[in-house]
Amino acid sequence: MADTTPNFDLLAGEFGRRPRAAVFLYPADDAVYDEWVDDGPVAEAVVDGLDQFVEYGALGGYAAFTLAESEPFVADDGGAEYDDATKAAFVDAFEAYTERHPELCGARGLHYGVAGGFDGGGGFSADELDELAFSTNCRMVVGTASEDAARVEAFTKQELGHALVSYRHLAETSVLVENGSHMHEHDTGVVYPSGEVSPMAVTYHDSHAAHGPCGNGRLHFRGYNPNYTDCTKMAVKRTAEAVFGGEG
Amino acid sequence: MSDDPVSVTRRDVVRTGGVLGGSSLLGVVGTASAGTTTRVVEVAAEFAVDAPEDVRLRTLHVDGAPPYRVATDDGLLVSDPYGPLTAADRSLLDDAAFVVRDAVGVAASGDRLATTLTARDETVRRLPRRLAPDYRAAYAVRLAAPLDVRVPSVTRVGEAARVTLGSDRYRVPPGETLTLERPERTVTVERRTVREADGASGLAADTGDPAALADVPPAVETGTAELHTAVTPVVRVRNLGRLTVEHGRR
Repeated sequence: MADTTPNFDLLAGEFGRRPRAAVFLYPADDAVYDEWVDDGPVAEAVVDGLDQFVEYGALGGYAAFTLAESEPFVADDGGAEYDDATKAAFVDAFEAYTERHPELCGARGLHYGVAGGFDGGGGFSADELDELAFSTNCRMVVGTASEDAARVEAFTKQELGHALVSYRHLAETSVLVENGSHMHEHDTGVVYPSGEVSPMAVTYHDSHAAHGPCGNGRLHFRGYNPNYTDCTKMAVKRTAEAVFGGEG
Repeated sequence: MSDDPVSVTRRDVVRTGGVLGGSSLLGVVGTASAGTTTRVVEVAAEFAVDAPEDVRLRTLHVDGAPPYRVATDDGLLVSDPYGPLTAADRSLLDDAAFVVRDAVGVAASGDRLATTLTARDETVRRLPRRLAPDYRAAYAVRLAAPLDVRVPSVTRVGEAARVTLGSDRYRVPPGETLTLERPERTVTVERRTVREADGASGLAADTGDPAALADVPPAVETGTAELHTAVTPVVRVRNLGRLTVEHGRR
């Protein structure tokens, strides 16, 4: 553990207007920070994603921060295996790291680990109102192992979306999602006519993108589109309204 | 591991056919046919967890590429270029006459391919509560203590899969899915506790940019507790039949 308390740097955002959300990026090591966080695709994806929600009216404001000086949070065997179980292990490792630093993760928002050892993302399921970045210290991780900037950006936005959408409340208040697990948050993603997949449907282009009230039935995959669908934006808006009582 | 895994008996068996909604559009860029076919059987387990209505379990989800995508209508199996299959796995996929995929997503060995899957005990830390259509774990409950579970053995008999679990044997023809509800187990799972925060921001005053961080409110405090409860394992074995193997490229 580091001797001194790590400091966050403000990356972007205006936090004053509600509803609002904070995102804290925790690079796993210096290499990840240099390549993916410091003016890199992950940081850019977080800011662009939050800007999209602000522009739509789902968020009033946000603040995004980066942790420049970091101790590695990934266990020694991180990335040795490359399967779903290992992705969950990254979530465990990141949780352990944040719990060693309550002065950091006590803040409300998405505490977002950025690792190099796996491709994809994961976290504690934000499937309850009290598991959201709007109200608690929601924790997610994203992996950069693919070395594909567009794919990493897409996964970064997918996990950000998970942290801002509550399927359970949507089931009660909207037609977007009828019932089910957080997997229905993937239903808000589509494959655009161009063949590009929206963030919430990445790796689900042949399943969740094709069904649900937001699906358009197109299954061809021809790359990644950085834009959330209006369906995803509406899901964030409805969730924020639920948390903040419509007042923000 | 149950106390006596060999002696446990099935409580229910359900056979269903045609459960896969095939698609001709797998959405994997730049696939190249290897020109080989193989018989594919998928094995997975999910767990029904008993929990009171007001108890929230600690659940994890993971997102990423599956090992491969299947379109049964077109008879295709396409390995995902970003998925977990190694070059050796892909060679095995090309060469094997019979492939069993263990996709429980909680096994120590992950969802590697094998020419046969032999009955064995797996120590797991997470229990999938629901499977996605491609047998990926949609989300999983985290256990407070590891649990040993038994994975069935699967071998080929002609075009069918022979499944052995404990003392029970089943035959699963191509296109059919075998669902086995296993005896209830008692486990200890993690659950979430929630308490409203009452203080100032959880951030230390001297971290980062205080002016910018000052408005970030403290989080609702969450903690972890344990819940002793019953779980019912459900094992699913799906015989996809003979498929043409292709490998996706980035």
